[in-house]
Amino acid sequence: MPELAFDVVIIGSGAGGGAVARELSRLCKAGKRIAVLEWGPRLREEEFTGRELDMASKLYVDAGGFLTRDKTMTLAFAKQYGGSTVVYTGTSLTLQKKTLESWSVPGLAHDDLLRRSQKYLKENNVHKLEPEYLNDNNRLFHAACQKLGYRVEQFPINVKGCRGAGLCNLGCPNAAKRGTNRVQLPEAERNGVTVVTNCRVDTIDDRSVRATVKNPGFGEPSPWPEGDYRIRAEIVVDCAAAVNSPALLLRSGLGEKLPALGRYFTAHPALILVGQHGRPITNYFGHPKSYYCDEFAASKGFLLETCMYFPFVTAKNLTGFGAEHSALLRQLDRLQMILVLALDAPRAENRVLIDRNGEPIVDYTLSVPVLESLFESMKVSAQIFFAAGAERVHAPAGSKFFIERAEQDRLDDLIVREKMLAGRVSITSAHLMGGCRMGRDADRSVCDSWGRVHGTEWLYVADASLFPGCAAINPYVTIMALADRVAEGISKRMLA
Amino acid sequence: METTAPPRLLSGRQRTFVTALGHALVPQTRGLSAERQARFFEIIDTMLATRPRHMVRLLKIFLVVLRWFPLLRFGGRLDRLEGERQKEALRWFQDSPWVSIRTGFWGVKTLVFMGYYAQPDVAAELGYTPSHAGNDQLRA
Repeated sequence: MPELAFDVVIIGSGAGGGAVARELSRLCKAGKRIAVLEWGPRLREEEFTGRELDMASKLYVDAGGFLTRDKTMTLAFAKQYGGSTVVYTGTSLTLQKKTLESWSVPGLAHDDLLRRSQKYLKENNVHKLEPEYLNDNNRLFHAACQKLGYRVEQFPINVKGCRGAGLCNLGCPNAAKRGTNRVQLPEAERNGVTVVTNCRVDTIDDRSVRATVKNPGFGEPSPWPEGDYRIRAEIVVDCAAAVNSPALLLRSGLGEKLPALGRYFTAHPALILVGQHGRPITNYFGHPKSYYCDEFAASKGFLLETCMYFPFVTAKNLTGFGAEHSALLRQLDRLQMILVLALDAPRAENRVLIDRNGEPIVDYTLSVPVLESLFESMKVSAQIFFAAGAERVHAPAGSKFFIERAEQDRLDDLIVREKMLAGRVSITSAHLMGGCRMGRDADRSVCDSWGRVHGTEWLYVADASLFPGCAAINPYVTIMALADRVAEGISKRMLA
Repeated sequence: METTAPPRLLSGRQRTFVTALGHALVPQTRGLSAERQARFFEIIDTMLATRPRHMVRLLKIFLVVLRWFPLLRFGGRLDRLEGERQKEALRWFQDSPWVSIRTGFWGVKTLVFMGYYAQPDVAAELGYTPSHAGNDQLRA
């Protein structure tokens, strides 16, 4: 088995790994050797086809359909040069002060996080799209929320040269989204960081990792030959994200001394809801996600966002089947869509485990409060669809497949709690958080506020698994800000 | 992935049943050409090939339950029930009081939807014709 040596090994290249790699790359000039080990491939530009299943299979773990243990929720997370920053929509919000306060992490101040977040907003070209680039799907949501008196805001997004392909979740075919694959990783590489794709880290040992390089048959081949490797490093930074970071640490035998490892996993469980208009609207042309409504975040525990998905994803997220289901799908160019995110509380029993082969299992139970929030969100969303002019609405917990416009005053009767059952209603998540939460001590947390694993001075975590609770916003900017902080701590230590 | 045929993980009998199920879940699958029908199963086989063996085994067991359980409750095998009676049986699985039955049904349904709706030609028939220059369409 070949043995290699670096000063720093970073595992994963998404929002966390990309930010750490770029920040630490300044040390390359001082002779430090830094490697990023990324499980996924680096796709060639021509491989971003925008075809639904093709891209889902190449970019996502389990093609975006990773199931929780009880199979009531699917988790979407990417493995790829750039991680999940390749497949997000680029919505760029900073963490609210009240959320950080609820996390109660000693030594982590909102001002510090905000300052770091703003650095990434700037370098990722975050801005609001001009009105001419907003499609009907987004405009109708905004107008309806205003009509109903609901607070509605435009998302700042991180694009440059966006041509409105509307395929953000399948990897931008126009290279417009400013993920770590476009900004931080290329800069890190120019500064001397080695990025090794198709390289899966199996375990972390004492100041070393064991990894396997295997090419998947698409994308650029790994710069290292296929095979097993042992890589020594003075510092190891786990940025494999909220499922694989805790799983990797568990596989490496850290579970015994860190009882909180894998626990307090949160996910913003989500629903995709649709309303059908009587005429074609522009929905899949243009950027898909321009507005959000947080009117019900505090009172009912959910956020609403505009969204637009692809035929198969749309089909699987509707409840029901047969002629009505098909009829709705055949009106795809008339559909208005809303994504609901439930703000789930951190619970110790929601956690990442590993099976006998060391593969991650996510044991997550959709709690009664989460199901209540999602149920309530259907009624609010139906009101928004009708206020926007929709002729009929599909509510997954509806007593019938379609709720017609003439029935809009009977939403409380037609959307019924008994139908809001886990496993019956399609629930997904793309905001995976927790599992290596920050905190004061090893009894209830895994890392300190600088991302250092309690009791293991050479091992750090820098990704969404650090979150002690859900972010209550789209999380990538916060991940980058925390990773920036972790990198600063490492940098100071290495230069000391 | 696009050039090599996936292994056939469903037996001939299982394919026949999934085809019948497809007719109930997505009526348009009744009229699929031989080429599209082959693609339908190619998509399903490709997806199953990436899943752990125990998941595929669970799916196969659930296909048996889905086929035969309606004999007890609805008086016939699922693929032999007609019209409304078949829908009633499918709704029973979807709304079942047991979460494992609901998730099993959801899994099979999702696989059938994938086999049909993930076909690029079908997307165009639904009116879904994205463009890499979508902003031009907004201004058109």
